[in-house]
Amino acid sequence: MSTVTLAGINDLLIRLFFRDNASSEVASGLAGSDGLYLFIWWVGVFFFVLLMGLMFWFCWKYRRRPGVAPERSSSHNTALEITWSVVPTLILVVIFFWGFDGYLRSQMPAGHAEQIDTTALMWNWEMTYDNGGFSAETVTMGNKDAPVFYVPAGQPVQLRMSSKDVIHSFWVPDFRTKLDVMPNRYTPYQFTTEPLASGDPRVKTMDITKGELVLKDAQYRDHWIFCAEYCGDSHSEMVGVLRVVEPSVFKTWKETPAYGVIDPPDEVGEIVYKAKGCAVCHSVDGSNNTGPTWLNAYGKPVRFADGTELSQADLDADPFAWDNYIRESIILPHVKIHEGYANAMASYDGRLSDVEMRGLIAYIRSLSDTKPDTDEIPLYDFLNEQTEGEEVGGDTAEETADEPAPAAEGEG
Amino acid sequence: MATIDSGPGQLPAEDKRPRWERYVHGHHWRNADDEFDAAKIGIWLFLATEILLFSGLFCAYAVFRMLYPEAIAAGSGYLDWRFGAINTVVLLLSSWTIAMAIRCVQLDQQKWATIHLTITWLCAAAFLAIKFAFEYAPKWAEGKRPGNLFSYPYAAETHEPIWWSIYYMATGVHATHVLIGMGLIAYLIVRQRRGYYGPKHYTMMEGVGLYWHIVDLVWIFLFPLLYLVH
Amino acid sequence: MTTVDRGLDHAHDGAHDHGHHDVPYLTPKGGPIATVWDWMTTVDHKKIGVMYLFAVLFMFFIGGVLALALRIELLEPTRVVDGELQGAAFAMLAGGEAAGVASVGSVYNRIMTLHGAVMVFMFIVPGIPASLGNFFLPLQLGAKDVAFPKLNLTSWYVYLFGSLFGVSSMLMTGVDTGWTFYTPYSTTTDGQAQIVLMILAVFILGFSSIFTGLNFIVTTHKLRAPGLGWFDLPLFIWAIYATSIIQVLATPVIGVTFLLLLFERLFQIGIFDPGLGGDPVLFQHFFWFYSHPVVYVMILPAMGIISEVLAVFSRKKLFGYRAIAFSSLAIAGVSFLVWGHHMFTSQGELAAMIFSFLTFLVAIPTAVKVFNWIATLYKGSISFQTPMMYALAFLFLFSIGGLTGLPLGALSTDLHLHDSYFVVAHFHYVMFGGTVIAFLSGIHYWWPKMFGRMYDERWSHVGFWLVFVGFNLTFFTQFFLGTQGMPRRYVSYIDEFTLLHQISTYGSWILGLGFIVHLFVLLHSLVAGPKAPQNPWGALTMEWETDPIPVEHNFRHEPVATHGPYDFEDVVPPGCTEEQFPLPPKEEVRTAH
Ligand code: HEA
Ligand code: HEA
Ligand code: CUA
Ligand SMILES: [Cu+2]
Repeated sequence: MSTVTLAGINDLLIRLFFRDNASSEVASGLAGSDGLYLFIWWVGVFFFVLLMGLMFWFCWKYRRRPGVAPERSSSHNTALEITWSVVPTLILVVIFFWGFDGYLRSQMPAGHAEQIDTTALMWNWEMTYDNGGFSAETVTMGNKDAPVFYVPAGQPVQLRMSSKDVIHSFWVPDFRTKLDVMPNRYTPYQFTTEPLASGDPRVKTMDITKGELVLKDAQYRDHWIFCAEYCGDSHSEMVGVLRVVEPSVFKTWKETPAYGVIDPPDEVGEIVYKAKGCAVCHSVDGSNNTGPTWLNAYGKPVRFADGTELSQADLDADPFAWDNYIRESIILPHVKIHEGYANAMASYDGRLSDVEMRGLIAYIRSLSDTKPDTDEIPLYDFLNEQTEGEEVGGDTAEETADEPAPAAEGEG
Repeated sequence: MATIDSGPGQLPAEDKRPRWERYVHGHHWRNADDEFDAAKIGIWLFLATEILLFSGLFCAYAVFRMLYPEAIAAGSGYLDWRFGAINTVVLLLSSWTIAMAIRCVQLDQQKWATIHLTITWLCAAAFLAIKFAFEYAPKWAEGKRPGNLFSYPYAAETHEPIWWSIYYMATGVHATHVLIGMGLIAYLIVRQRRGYYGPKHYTMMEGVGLYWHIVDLVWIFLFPLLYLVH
Repeated sequence: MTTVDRGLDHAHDGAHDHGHHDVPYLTPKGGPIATVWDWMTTVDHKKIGVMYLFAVLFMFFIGGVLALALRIELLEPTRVVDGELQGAAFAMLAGGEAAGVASVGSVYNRIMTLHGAVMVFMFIVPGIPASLGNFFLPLQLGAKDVAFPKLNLTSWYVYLFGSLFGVSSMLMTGVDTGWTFYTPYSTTTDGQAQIVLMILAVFILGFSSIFTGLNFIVTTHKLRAPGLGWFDLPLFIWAIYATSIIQVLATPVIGVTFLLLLFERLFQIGIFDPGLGGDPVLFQHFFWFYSHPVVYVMILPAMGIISEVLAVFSRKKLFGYRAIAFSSLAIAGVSFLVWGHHMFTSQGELAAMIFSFLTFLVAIPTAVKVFNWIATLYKGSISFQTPMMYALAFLFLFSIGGLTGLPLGALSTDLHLHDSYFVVAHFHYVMFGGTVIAFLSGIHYWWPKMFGRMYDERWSHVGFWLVFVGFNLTFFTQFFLGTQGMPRRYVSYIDEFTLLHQISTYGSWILGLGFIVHLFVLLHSLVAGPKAPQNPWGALTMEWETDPIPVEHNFRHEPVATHGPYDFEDVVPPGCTEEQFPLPPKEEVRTAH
């Protein structure tokens, strides 16, 4: 009877402390962490109640009465003193071993894990699956879009984590463990996802879409990902969602590309904008942020922090001047710093494909009210064909787009 | 330490005894012995802080020696052990002379005390001269510089810049201590010439002496660790 | 302890003695300018202590205002400081934003960093030792001054100088590194000048800390009054002594760490820079090697105050005097071995295991102290003036703070709780619920001796309850935020956390109100409080043997210890009568401690 009550109380406590856990059944999988936490909680409650009980009782019983002297009593009692040194020591030893055991378990690599490369950068998470695919899906969280990553349910997953810049820390509170992401080595974050149980209130259904794929009424469960190591301005927006789906759904999802190569470039660009972290620093609605906004930026003269500028004359002389400026800013962001902004961006060299790069340029361009006369430029005819459905031949455009180098030289 | 030389008070002008004989201990002390003992405890504690300061640098050294043994060995290869050895001898000599200076003061051999102190000061100066003229300056000029400043074109190991960071930090902090020591010794010379120190009162001399031994000791560790790696 | 004129009045004093050491130390020296000059150049530990007291409380005020600004920002899950200013602190820092230096998010981060840095380096570390310690350590020892009075003055100016660096960094829009300055973020984020200033500030403040600690150790060794053996020392002295050992041994390490950090920042020497093959985790080791022991620098003096106050207000010999004394030393010793518990998520398994184990070891002497304190109340005669209220509140809050250290020390649970609000709650419970509460207890306890005036007991009880309730509302909620997954140093958060954050913010307002009440009570006491008797609480330690306001040289005659500091059952306190503090009948035989 009493154990039932205790279990009931524990259940309540788990919900109070960790809220996401629907029941202590769930928590039993986390005995190394939640179980220990509860144990410590009870130890703490015991000693706290004992000590405070005595304190209040003494305070009441021995409160000062005018003219009454304190009673004599010993100020020393060896037996008592040994007891209250040894008992806590024993309890602490238990806590230590329990904690160490749970820790070792969490560090133990599971066999046949789904391997995912995880990159942290200021201020976003990126995951690349073993087939090179990635997720382009985001959910809105406050004023930012958080990336959504898919993992299979009921299977071990291992993240190979590394950082592009400073130290970050990967934390999924629901998994009760976090690990620092270092700039100079890989660290492993491993977990085994729970199956998608039908009674679990956290399990929901939705239509999963990716590129051309649509999976109707798929079950999923979301877990928050937080960056737990302070990493600067948007540390608090370095969040993501880990979406657990059925293994079969996961497999199909993983194998579908995030966008088709024949998608309109500015739409590709918009996906890249959200998925690769541009959105963390650059707004598209004109508001100020760590980096300059993209709204109505394209095609306008720019002044740089070192006093140089991309002048109207430059723009008139070279139709690709802005494109090259974008390209350079993505690959070598420290070279031209927009006036009034800090040198805060990490290089994306090697992290964008040609398609993605072109997409971004097209997207930034689409956000601007100032565009060079598109009719004269075959490249943009190609783009326009995709975005606006104009009937212009695209084959010459492909060639031009693949060779931005001569233009860059021309700008010299 | 502040009280070590604290005020002899206003003394009658006709008192012709040397200053150390006229020395009166600080008003909050029961007697001069207590004051002297206190100063000594204080100095020893201060020396403990010095050791801990340098042990931080030694730890950094140990870590990188573990991480990049080749770079440390290669870096050490650029150093000329002969300069290190000369400087070791110079510092050891100075340690001996300052100890002698204290002894002379205790025996009231003021002239010899001045001579010993002066030699100590000159040794310190020689140490720094050798360090700067034959070690820092040429190395810096060749581009053997710490971290990002590194521009030596013939580096054999990728992590040599780190080696130079450790080298410059460790020897630089040490050299700063030598410099401070020179200031203190110069101060001692002036005060000793004016007769502040003698058999009954030499706290400050003792303190600086102990400090100087520590500076020496640190170098004795630095020398093999930096110059004699294989 | 009685004062006996043993004819020790030194002959040499005659030379520069104009009888001024029979004057209360607060008596002005001539006109205002002369008085100011006198304070600025004083080597009197009491004046230095008082100046420190006001300086650290001022820093506490700044840190507190920054904290309230943090809490206001956290009322809403999204960032609310988008251009609109929230209070003075934001206005100050947002100036930098207008200049294009700081972006929106970094305003919060700067305030958060400054709050931590001010509270730790400029308030709580110098806090109790440099103010109350400076004032009362020599008095409790029956000494005329600390061992090295000029060094003491130097320490004060070094502190001022260091704080000046810190404040100027703040005025230049501050730093956004977090008080922990983790590399490589701290070496790459922008704001070169401010960061260099802040690094220098910490470096310089370290010297102040070392000087004070060194001074106290020597003073305790060499300036005890005749008859005052080591085990006759008040426990406050033991605590300050243990603290000083930590200060002297740990501070040089932060010195060299911040020196390396400075060069890293200025010249990219690469020791902590992974790009050049350096090791960022090495910085963390260095940092915590200092900063863990330093948490005991914060708590040990607080424990010393609690020992004094509990004994005096329950008129009992402290239970287990030696256990408390030695546990201070044990804590000081073991504290050097546990730094790795701040880095469980960035180090190897073996190291993690060792550090976790040692962490539990250091909890034991603390637990022993708590048990002893509670046992001291047994069969006492307990009264509840403000110092005692705060001492009892200390037992309550510090137990919570300490016990929540346990899941942080255990490996598996820390992986979850690390860098979450659970940690924030833990350290506010120990630093605020422990140290600040004890500081408040000490300030009220010694106030009459420092300024010769009583404060209003009724109103300071009001202040107490506001602080106590406000504090718990502010920080108890944060334990739940932490377990539920709220990371620390977050300016925005997911909607689920809103309610708990709001309760926390409202709590902080009550807390702030409590401090304002205290501030007024104490200011009122300064100008209009009734004159304090020599020994209002009936204590037996030596500081209560001097005049209500101590004279310049502390005692009119050299005191001699004739009884222990807590022999309340046998001795009528100096300056008091037996009606005030009745003694129990004599016949029973006591066991000696
Ligand atoms: C006053 C300062 C102070 C004090 C005294 C303590 C005391 C303790 N601290 Fe705390 N700690 C901090 C200040 C302090 N801490 C700060 C500032 C941080 C965060 C720094 C940052 O990251 O910014 C921190 C962080 C911190 C961490 C790192 C968390 C993380 O980042 O992941 C850990 C982990 O082990 C820890 C553990 C402990 C332990 C075990 C004690 C123990 O000493 C506590 C001992 C006390 C008790 C145990 C309670 C009293 C005893 C009883 C009621 C009797 C019954 C007891 C038993 C049965 C055991 N602390
Ligand atoms: C001594 C240490 C100390 C103290 C006392 C406090 C006090 C407070 N702190 Fe603390 N805090 C830290 C040390 C401290 N803090 C540290 C080290 C950090 C970590 C920083 C980092 O992550 O880098 C931190 C971080 C921190 C955070 C987390 C920020 C984040 O992670 O994003 C929060 C959030 O709520 C917070 C809130 C508060 C509040 C509301 C108070 C309140 O209790 C303040 C109340 C005080 C006042 C309102 C002042 C009133 C004073 C007077 C009127 C003067 C008169 C005085 C007398 C008469 C005695 N603090
Ligand atoms: Cu990334 Cu915090
Ligand atoms: Cu710690």
